[in-house]
Amino acid sequence: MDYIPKIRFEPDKNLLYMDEIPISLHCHHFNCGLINAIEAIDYFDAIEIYINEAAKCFYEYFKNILTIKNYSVNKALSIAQDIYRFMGYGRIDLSELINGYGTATSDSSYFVVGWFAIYGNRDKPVCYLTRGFIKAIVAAIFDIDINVVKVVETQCMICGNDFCEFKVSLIEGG
Amino acid sequence: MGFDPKKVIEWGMSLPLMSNERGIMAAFGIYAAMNFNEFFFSTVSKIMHMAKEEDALEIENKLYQAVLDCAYYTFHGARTSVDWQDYIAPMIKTKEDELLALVAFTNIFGVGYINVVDLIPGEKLVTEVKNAYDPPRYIEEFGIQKRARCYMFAACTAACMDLVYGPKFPNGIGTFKAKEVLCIAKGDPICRFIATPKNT
Repeated sequence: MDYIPKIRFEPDKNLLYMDEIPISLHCHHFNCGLINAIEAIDYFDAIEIYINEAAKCFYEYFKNILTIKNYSVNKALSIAQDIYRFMGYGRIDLSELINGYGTATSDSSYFVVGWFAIYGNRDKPVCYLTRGFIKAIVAAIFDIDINVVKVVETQCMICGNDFCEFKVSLIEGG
Repeated sequence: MGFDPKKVIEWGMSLPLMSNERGIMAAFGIYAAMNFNEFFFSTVSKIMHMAKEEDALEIENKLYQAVLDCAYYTFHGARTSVDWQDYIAPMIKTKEDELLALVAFTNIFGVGYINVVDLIPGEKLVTEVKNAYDPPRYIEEFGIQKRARCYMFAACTAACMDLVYGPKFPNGIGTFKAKEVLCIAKGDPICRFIATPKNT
């Protein structure tokens, strides 16, 4: 791994930090249960909120790492892959992303195995957090306004595809 | 209450919780992931404030159920693990010890420290948390809340009672129901949870 985040635990307070950002460990029942709960809302886009809040958190975290050391684009993308894997979200290939465009692929996904374990297959992609993660990484590494980065999961293993695929582009006029 | 919960935390800290080559962290029969605390707060709080009252309540119930599932299965996976059997089980002499051990196990996930303040075996468990992440953030972002916000600790409190005093796993889930009777997000000095049998 190119980068291993520093984990700190305060046992008397049960507080956990990754590179001094508060984090906690949760299982697939909760993470997938949250998606299941908010997907049911049909009068505003709760999933978009979920994706954007994930993006904000990853952006803040990753921007800080990039600020500490001036990594090349390739190195920064590789570090992002390591962090994603380290956090337990699966394995992702970001190497084809260039200047806010391109395709990312994942052949191992926490949300796919987690969702499948509880609910089984589904017709709709489920890796919303990964979309937020990619949005943040693209914005941070290529110095692009996070609001104009668009990430769509075009195929997902939960739907029976061989791997998850994410198409990245910039919103026109952004 | 002769059982020392700190032993469970020490044990928990020694566990090699790491993701594998495929980026999957499997332990105790569940898949774990590291989440930013702010992510859960900001996502759930925004959605709760935008949702209609009845939908917000339904979401809250679903989140409580998701955490109940999470805690029930994770804690059972832990207590049946070889490591637990070797290190923790020999210290457990009574059901009440096991209850304390399971609550202590909650204290390795980084969610804030939960403490047992009262236990009537098989009837009632009272827990408290002083440093949950969400309540002060709710106050910062939205002001004093009308409702308690710590569904996560409420469900963990109930799950521990389910596992110890409910019917044998996996049939005991939901035997107890916990309510957050005090919450820092409502302006209370502490978050307090009471689990009692669901049908009382």
